Amino acid sequence: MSWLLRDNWIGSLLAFLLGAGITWYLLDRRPATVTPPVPTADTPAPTPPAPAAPPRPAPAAPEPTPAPAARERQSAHEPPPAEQQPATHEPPGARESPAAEVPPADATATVRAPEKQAEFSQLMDGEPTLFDHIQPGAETGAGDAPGVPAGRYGVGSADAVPHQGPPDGFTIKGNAQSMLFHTPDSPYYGRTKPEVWFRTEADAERAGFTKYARRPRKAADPRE
Amino acid sequence: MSWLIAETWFLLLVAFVLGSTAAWLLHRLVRTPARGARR
Repeated sequence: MSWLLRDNWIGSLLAFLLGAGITWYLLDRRPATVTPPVPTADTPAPTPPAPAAPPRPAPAAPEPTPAPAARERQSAHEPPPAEQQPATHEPPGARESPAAEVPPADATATVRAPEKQAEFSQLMDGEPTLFDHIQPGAETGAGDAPGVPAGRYGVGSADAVPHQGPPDGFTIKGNAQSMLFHTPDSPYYGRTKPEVWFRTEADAERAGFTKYARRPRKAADPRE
Repeated sequence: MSWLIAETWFLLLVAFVLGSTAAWLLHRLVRTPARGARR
Protein backbone atom coordinates (compact mmCIF):
# COMPACT_ATOMS: atom_id res chain seq x y z
CA MET A 1 0.00 0.00 0.00
CA SER A 2 2.89 2.32 0.65
CA TRP A 3 4.02 2.12 -2.93
CA LEU A 4 0.69 3.61 -3.89
CA LEU A 5 1.28 6.56 -1.64
CA ARG A 6 4.84 6.79 -2.84
CA ASP A 7 3.78 6.91 -6.44
CA ASN A 8 0.92 9.32 -5.90
CA TRP A 9 2.22 11.50 -3.13
CA ILE A 10 1.79 14.64 -5.18
CA GLY A 11 -1.81 13.84 -5.90
CA SER A 12 -2.41 12.91 -2.29
CA LEU A 13 -0.84 16.09 -1.11
CA LEU A 14 -2.93 18.09 -3.50
CA ALA A 15 -6.08 16.32 -2.33
CA PHE A 16 -5.08 16.97 1.25
CA LEU A 17 -4.51 20.63 0.56
CA LEU A 18 -7.70 20.89 -1.42
CA GLY A 19 -9.75 19.37 1.36
CA ALA A 20 -8.08 21.51 3.94
CA GLY A 21 -8.50 24.65 1.91
CA ILE A 22 -12.15 24.04 1.16
CA THR A 23 -12.91 23.23 4.76
CA TRP A 24 -11.04 26.22 6.07
CA TYR A 25 -12.74 28.46 3.58
CA LEU A 26 -16.17 27.18 4.51
CA LEU A 27 -15.49 27.42 8.22
CA ASP A 28 -14.14 30.92 7.86
CA ARG A 29 -16.92 32.09 5.65
CA ARG A 30 -19.67 31.03 8.01
CA PRO A 31 -19.34 33.88 10.54
CA ALA A 32 -18.49 36.25 7.73
CA THR A 33 -21.98 35.89 6.29
CA VAL A 34 -23.36 37.28 9.51
CA THR A 35 -20.71 39.85 10.27
CA PRO A 36 -19.28 41.41 7.13
CA PRO A 37 -16.25 43.01 8.83
CA VAL A 38 -14.68 39.61 9.45
CA PRO A 39 -13.53 38.87 5.90
CA THR A 40 -12.27 42.38 5.39
CA ALA A 41 -10.06 42.09 8.42
CA ASP A 42 -9.07 38.55 7.62
CA THR A 43 -8.41 38.43 3.91
CA PRO A 44 -5.54 40.94 3.78
CA ALA A 45 -3.82 39.17 6.62
CA PRO A 46 -2.61 36.02 4.82
CA THR A 47 -0.82 37.88 2.05
CA PRO A 48 2.05 39.51 3.98
CA PRO A 49 3.20 36.63 6.18
CA ALA A 50 2.86 33.94 3.51
CA PRO A 51 5.08 34.50 0.52
CA ALA A 52 5.07 31.06 -1.06
CA ALA A 53 1.86 29.27 -0.33
CA PRO A 54 -1.62 28.64 -1.66
CA PRO A 55 -4.11 31.45 -1.06
CA ARG A 56 -4.77 30.21 2.42
CA PRO A 57 -1.59 28.94 4.01
CA ALA A 58 -3.02 27.79 7.28
CA PRO A 59 -4.94 24.76 5.96
CA ALA A 60 -1.78 23.34 4.51
CA ALA A 61 -0.67 22.73 7.99
CA PRO A 62 -1.15 19.66 9.99
CA GLU A 63 2.43 20.51 10.96
CA PRO A 64 2.71 22.68 14.05
CA THR A 65 4.56 25.55 12.39
CA PRO A 66 1.71 27.43 10.71
CA ALA A 67 -0.53 27.14 13.71
CA PRO A 68 1.30 29.78 15.76
CA ALA A 69 1.52 31.90 12.64
CA ALA A 70 -2.20 31.72 12.23
CA ARG A 71 -2.65 32.48 15.88
CA GLU A 72 -0.44 35.52 15.57
CA ARG A 73 -2.45 36.65 12.64
CA GLN A 74 -5.54 36.19 14.69
CA SER A 75 -4.28 38.23 17.59
CA ALA A 76 -2.61 40.88 15.47
CA HIS A 77 -5.31 41.60 13.00
CA GLU A 78 -8.66 40.79 14.30
CA PRO A 79 -9.70 41.68 17.78
CA PRO A 80 -13.16 42.67 16.49
CA PRO A 81 -14.07 39.24 15.09
CA ALA A 82 -12.98 37.69 18.33
CA GLU A 83 -15.62 39.72 20.02
CA GLN A 84 -18.20 39.28 17.36
CA GLN A 85 -17.94 35.57 17.03
CA PRO A 86 -19.56 34.70 20.34
CA ALA A 87 -22.63 36.54 19.28
CA THR A 88 -22.98 34.54 16.12
CA HIS A 89 -21.76 31.22 17.40
CA GLU A 90 -23.83 30.38 20.39
CA PRO A 91 -26.53 27.98 19.47
CA PRO A 92 -26.41 26.28 22.91
CA GLY A 93 -27.50 29.43 24.63
CA ALA A 94 -30.17 30.02 22.06
CA ARG A 95 -31.30 26.48 22.39
CA GLU A 96 -31.48 26.66 26.14
CA SER A 97 -33.52 29.79 26.36
CA PRO A 98 -36.78 28.43 24.91
CA ALA A 99 -36.43 25.34 27.04
CA ALA A 100 -35.96 27.45 30.09
CA GLU A 101 -38.86 29.61 29.10
CA VAL A 102 -41.23 26.72 28.88
CA PRO A 103 -43.19 26.79 32.06
CA PRO A 104 -43.48 23.81 34.32
CA ALA A 105 -45.93 21.08 33.67
CA ASP A 106 -49.20 21.51 35.38
CA ALA A 107 -50.89 18.76 37.20
CA THR A 108 -53.44 18.00 34.55
CA ALA A 109 -53.25 17.17 30.91
CA THR A 110 -55.54 19.95 29.89
CA VAL A 111 -53.07 22.62 30.81
CA ARG A 112 -50.25 20.58 29.39
CA ALA A 113 -51.38 20.98 25.83
CA PRO A 114 -50.49 24.68 25.57
CA GLU A 115 -46.93 23.99 26.57
CA LYS A 116 -46.06 22.75 23.18
CA GLN A 117 -46.74 26.15 21.73
CA ALA A 118 -45.36 28.20 24.53
CA GLU A 119 -42.83 29.74 22.22
CA PHE A 120 -45.54 30.87 19.89
CA SER A 121 -47.57 32.39 22.64
CA GLN A 122 -44.50 34.17 23.85
CA LEU A 123 -43.97 35.55 20.41
CA MET A 124 -47.25 37.30 20.84
CA ASP A 125 -46.26 38.87 24.11
CA GLY A 126 -46.63 42.58 23.91
CA GLU A 127 -48.81 42.40 20.84
CA PRO A 128 -52.20 43.98 21.07
CA THR A 129 -54.93 41.51 21.71
CA LEU A 130 -58.65 41.54 21.45
CA PHE A 131 -58.86 41.93 25.20
CA ASP A 132 -56.77 45.03 25.55
CA HIS A 133 -59.68 47.38 25.81
CA ILE A 134 -61.06 45.47 28.77
CA GLN A 135 -60.11 46.88 32.10
CA PRO A 136 -60.97 44.32 34.76
CA GLY A 137 -60.94 46.82 37.57
CA ALA A 138 -63.09 49.28 35.67
CA GLU A 139 -65.53 46.57 34.73
CA THR A 140 -66.07 45.57 38.28
CA GLY A 141 -66.56 49.13 39.27
CA ALA A 142 -69.02 49.65 36.46
CA GLY A 143 -71.45 47.32 38.07
CA ASP A 144 -72.92 43.93 37.44
CA ALA A 145 -73.93 42.82 34.03
CA PRO A 146 -77.64 42.55 34.40
CA GLY A 147 -78.39 39.79 31.94
CA VAL A 148 -75.74 37.33 33.07
CA PRO A 149 -77.00 34.50 35.22
CA ALA A 150 -74.71 33.26 37.91
CA GLY A 151 -72.79 30.22 36.85
CA ARG A 152 -72.26 27.02 38.71
CA TYR A 153 -69.54 28.65 40.75
CA GLY A 154 -71.83 31.30 42.14
CA VAL A 155 -71.98 35.01 41.81
CA GLY A 156 -69.21 36.46 39.69
CA SER A 157 -68.93 33.38 37.54
CA ALA A 158 -70.58 32.49 34.29
CA ASP A 159 -70.69 29.19 32.54
CA ALA A 160 -68.83 29.29 29.30
CA VAL A 161 -70.80 28.60 26.17
CA PRO A 162 -68.78 26.76 23.53
CA HIS A 163 -67.73 28.91 20.61
CA GLN A 164 -68.96 32.03 22.29
CA GLY A 165 -67.08 34.80 23.88
CA PRO A 166 -67.41 35.78 27.48
CA PRO A 167 -70.25 37.84 28.86
CA ASP A 168 -69.51 41.49 29.28
CA GLY A 169 -67.09 42.13 32.08
CA PHE A 170 -65.99 38.53 32.43
CA THR A 171 -62.37 38.32 31.47
CA ILE A 172 -60.94 35.55 33.58
CA LYS A 173 -60.91 32.03 32.25
CA GLY A 174 -61.31 29.15 34.62
CA ASN A 175 -60.29 25.60 33.95
CA ALA A 176 -62.48 23.30 35.97
CA GLN A 177 -60.16 20.32 35.68
CA SER A 178 -57.01 21.99 36.86
CA MET A 179 -58.92 24.43 39.05
CA LEU A 180 -56.70 27.18 37.77
CA PHE A 181 -57.80 30.49 36.40
CA HIS A 182 -55.99 32.58 33.85
CA THR A 183 -56.08 36.32 33.75
CA PRO A 184 -55.32 38.05 30.45
CA ASP A 185 -51.76 38.39 31.70
CA SER A 186 -51.27 34.65 31.71
CA PRO A 187 -49.23 33.34 28.81
CA TYR A 188 -51.81 30.64 28.33
CA TYR A 189 -54.76 32.92 28.41
CA GLY A 190 -55.35 32.75 24.70
CA ARG A 191 -55.04 29.00 24.56
CA THR A 192 -57.08 28.12 27.55
CA LYS A 193 -60.51 26.89 26.72
CA PRO A 194 -62.67 28.43 29.36
CA GLU A 195 -65.11 26.25 31.15
CA VAL A 196 -66.17 29.04 33.39
CA TRP A 197 -65.72 32.77 33.24
CA PHE A 198 -65.04 34.93 36.23
CA ARG A 199 -65.40 38.62 36.56
CA THR A 200 -62.66 39.20 39.08
CA GLU A 201 -59.86 37.24 40.58
CA ALA A 202 -61.60 37.43 43.92
CA ASP A 203 -64.62 35.70 42.42
CA ALA A 204 -62.44 32.97 41.04
CA GLU A 205 -60.62 32.47 44.29
CA ARG A 206 -63.85 32.39 46.17
CA ALA A 207 -64.96 29.60 43.88
CA GLY A 208 -61.89 27.62 44.80
CA PHE A 209 -59.76 28.37 41.80
CA THR A 210 -56.08 29.19 41.98
CA LYS A 211 -54.40 31.76 39.88
CA TYR A 212 -52.03 30.35 37.34
CA ALA A 213 -48.48 31.35 38.14
CA ARG A 214 -45.40 30.47 36.26
CA ARG A 215 -43.38 28.43 38.65
CA PRO A 216 -39.67 27.90 38.19
CA ARG A 217 -39.02 24.42 37.00
CA LYS A 218 -37.14 22.27 39.41
CA ALA A 219 -33.61 21.76 38.17
CA ALA A 220 -34.33 23.67 35.03
CA ASP A 221 -30.67 23.76 34.20
CA PRO A 222 -28.67 21.27 36.24
CA ARG A 223 -25.42 22.83 35.10
CA GLU A 224 -26.08 26.00 36.96
CA MET B 1 -5.39 -1.86 -13.87
CA SER B 2 -8.84 -0.74 -12.90
CA TRP B 3 -8.12 -1.85 -9.37
CA LEU B 4 -5.11 0.39 -9.38
CA ILE B 5 -7.24 3.32 -10.49
CA ALA B 6 -9.79 2.60 -7.81
CA GLU B 7 -7.05 2.46 -5.22
CA THR B 8 -5.65 5.73 -6.40
CA TRP B 9 -9.02 7.42 -6.23
CA PHE B 10 -9.55 6.01 -2.80
CA LEU B 11 -6.19 7.34 -1.72
CA LEU B 12 -7.11 10.77 -3.01
CA LEU B 13 -10.41 10.61 -1.21
CA VAL B 14 -8.75 9.65 2.05
CA ALA B 15 -6.23 12.43 1.62
CA PHE B 16 -9.05 14.88 1.03
CA VAL B 17 -10.89 13.77 4.12
CA LEU B 18 -7.73 13.89 6.18
CA GLY B 19 -6.98 17.36 4.93
CA SER B 20 -10.41 18.67 5.74
CA THR B 21 -10.27 17.07 9.16
CA ALA B 22 -6.93 18.64 9.84
CA ALA B 23 -8.20 22.01 8.70
CA TRP B 24 -11.27 21.67 10.88
CA LEU B 25 -9.19 20.80 13.92
CA LEU B 26 -6.79 23.60 13.22
CA HIS B 27 -9.61 26.04 12.69
CA ARG B 28 -11.17 25.03 15.95
CA LEU B 29 -7.85 25.28 17.71
CA VAL B 30 -7.13 28.70 16.34
CA ARG B 31 -10.52 30.24 16.71
CA THR B 32 -11.71 28.90 20.04
CA PRO B 33 -9.13 30.52 22.35
CA ALA B 34 -9.68 33.81 20.61
CA ARG B 35 -13.35 33.51 21.40
CA GLY B 36 -12.71 32.71 25.03
CA ALA B 37 -10.14 35.45 25.45
CA ARG B 38 -12.67 38.19 25.60
CA ARG B 39 -11.26 41.36 26.94
